[in-house]
Amino acid sequence: MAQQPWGTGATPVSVPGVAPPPPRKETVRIAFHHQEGLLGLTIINFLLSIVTLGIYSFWGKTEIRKHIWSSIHINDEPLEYTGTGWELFLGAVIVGLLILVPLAFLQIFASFLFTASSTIAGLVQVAVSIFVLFLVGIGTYRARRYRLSRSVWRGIRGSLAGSPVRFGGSFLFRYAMLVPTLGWAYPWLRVGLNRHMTNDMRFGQHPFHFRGSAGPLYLPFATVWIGGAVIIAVIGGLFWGSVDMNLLFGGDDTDPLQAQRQGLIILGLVLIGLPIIFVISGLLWVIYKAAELRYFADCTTFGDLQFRLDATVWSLITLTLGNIMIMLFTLGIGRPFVQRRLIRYVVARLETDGTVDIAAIQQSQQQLDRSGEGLAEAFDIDGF
Amino acid sequence: MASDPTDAHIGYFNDGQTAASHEVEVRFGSGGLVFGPPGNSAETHWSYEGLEPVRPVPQSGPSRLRYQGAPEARLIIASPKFAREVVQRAPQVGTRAGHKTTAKIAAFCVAGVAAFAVASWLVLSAAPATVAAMVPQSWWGFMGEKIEASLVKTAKRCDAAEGKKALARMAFRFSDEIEANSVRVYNMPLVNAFAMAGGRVVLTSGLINAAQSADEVAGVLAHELGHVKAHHPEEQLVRVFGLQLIMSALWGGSGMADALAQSGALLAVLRYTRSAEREADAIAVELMEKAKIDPQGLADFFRTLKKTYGGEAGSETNQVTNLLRTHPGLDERIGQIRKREPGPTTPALSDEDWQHLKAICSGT
Repeated sequence: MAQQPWGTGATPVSVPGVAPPPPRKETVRIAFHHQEGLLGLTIINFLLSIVTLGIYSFWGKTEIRKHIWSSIHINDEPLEYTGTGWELFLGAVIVGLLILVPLAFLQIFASFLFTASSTIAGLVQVAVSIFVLFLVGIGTYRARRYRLSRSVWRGIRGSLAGSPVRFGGSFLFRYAMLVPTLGWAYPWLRVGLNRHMTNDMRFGQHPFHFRGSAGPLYLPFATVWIGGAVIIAVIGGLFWGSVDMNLLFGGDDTDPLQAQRQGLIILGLVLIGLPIIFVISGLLWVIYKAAELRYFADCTTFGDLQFRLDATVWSLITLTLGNIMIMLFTLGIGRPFVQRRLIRYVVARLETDGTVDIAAIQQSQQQLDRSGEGLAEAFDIDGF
Repeated sequence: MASDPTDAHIGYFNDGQTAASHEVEVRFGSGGLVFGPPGNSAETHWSYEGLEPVRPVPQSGPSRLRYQGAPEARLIIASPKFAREVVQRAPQVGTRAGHKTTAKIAAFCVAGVAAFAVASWLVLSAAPATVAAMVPQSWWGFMGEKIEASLVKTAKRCDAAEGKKALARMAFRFSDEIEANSVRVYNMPLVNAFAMAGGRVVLTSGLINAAQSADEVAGVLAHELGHVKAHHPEEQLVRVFGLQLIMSALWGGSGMADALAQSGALLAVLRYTRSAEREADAIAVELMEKAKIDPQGLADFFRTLKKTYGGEAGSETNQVTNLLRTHPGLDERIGQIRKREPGPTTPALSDEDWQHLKAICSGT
């Protein structure tokens, strides 16, 4: 084979007397180019998954990812998904045999061995929950690592450089803190886990960085928490205030007309009050999520490249409602469309400032996993 | 033919080592694509057989190719026209890979069916006996207790003292290892009997009332003890667990333990195959012969059932048809029992004990 005419970009062949070429810094544009064909792919995948009793779904998932990934263009060149259905299948089989089957047996036997109220059953349940939370953390990390290592742009793949077990430990600890803090640990856990993940992330050998603390997220979070508490207190108060408790809990000398009136009030509160709680707390939650998305992008850099994400409350509401509708009306079959909408949302709204010497980025040296995402699949961690 | 500069097409090359994008001139060489930097003599050769598409070559826009010998490198062909000419020489990079896909799909279907068949065979036939033997007896005891509780629901246990003694005497005739407390009568109109994991046997008051003699009850008891002896309840539990595991693996469901508590699963837990019923009958006859009780008692009970309720198709709520459905092929089974040659026998219970047993529910 002839000698490669192109040197390695990072170490240009130096010729005596000639200065090395200056770094060719480039700006980075990320765009989503819509492609047809997802509907056909979705239908074929669904039918084949039925015919093959679910086995095809791993290959189908891979086809969907190839389709969606190739719609993402960075500096006019598409992203490429190089994973295979076989890797996903293998991952699912390994996790199924090593973890799910023993866990299922443990739970079935535990439910038979001890009555629900016994302390041992409770302890077993708590231990299983802790273990599962730990596994969910590991699974999240491993799934991200797998996808990054199968995401290729200009022949260079991504990676996640840290240890899944360490991430799992951090994940478990931070989520456990939600209980004693009544949820107030949430921004801290989100920022902590995102920092961990982003700082481990590489494109080729070039690292991403996350600089940020949970502080700025506490104002939007307090809005959600307090707003939610207030709305629940108001509607709950209306309920307790307008309902005669004697009537509800077994007074014998009740006036039937009075009872009927009470029944109507309760019905009205359930039909109007509960939806109000859901809508308002959902809205507050979106306000927080939009702030979080923007903040995470602001905190993320890649060399001199700075990210920005234009996540607005209204756009996030339409995105979420649309996705819920798709899942409801297609009974989940339309999931690929939900995935595409999510990715398109981020990709289309992601912008970068600054420049980076793309040509100098070297290929990742991390070894490729031979199977992928079994854990994430098992615990249904996310839809991709 | 001399090299014509119009032969060369512009492309881009990623070498798989860095993210640099190199402009290259691509030509058709002998047996493969040849490309290199413009105006440079150094060239790379990719054979047609080794070419792979990143995505099948599109009708318009650039095409992206990989090469088996350098899986991380990428060659981007800018011109769709040139890309189509590449497809002519290396058909595998084109969109049409029809027969390969069909073969793949067929393979998937076969694999799916085969996997299902193997899993079913494992779960239904191969594994139950082995797994059932691995689980400690005390666990089965706990499970049997829970199954009994969900079976009888709110029905009261019949515990007239003399009746219980009579029942225990009957059970001890089959084996002195039986724990008297593990055979119980519940006040239920249903005409049925059940064997459960851990050696428990439940008879209904409906069954005792329907029986014409103590021998008939003894026949049914022996039959249930036959199930116990052959470990049918334990094996059936393993089968149901296994099926639920397969189902949840296929459809990603959860709450397996909850599902078992439902009556549908309960029915599955307590239902046996015809061959299991035949095996229990055979063991019952053996037990009865050994206990010097006339094995015809079991056959008589079947006849009583037939005479009283006939073969009529009852409604879903008809408890007798339930029994017939879970114990299929009565005539055949009666025939099996009749063929045996009984030795000298004594009644299963004395007349007095039989009266006590019939009155076992009188206190409830």
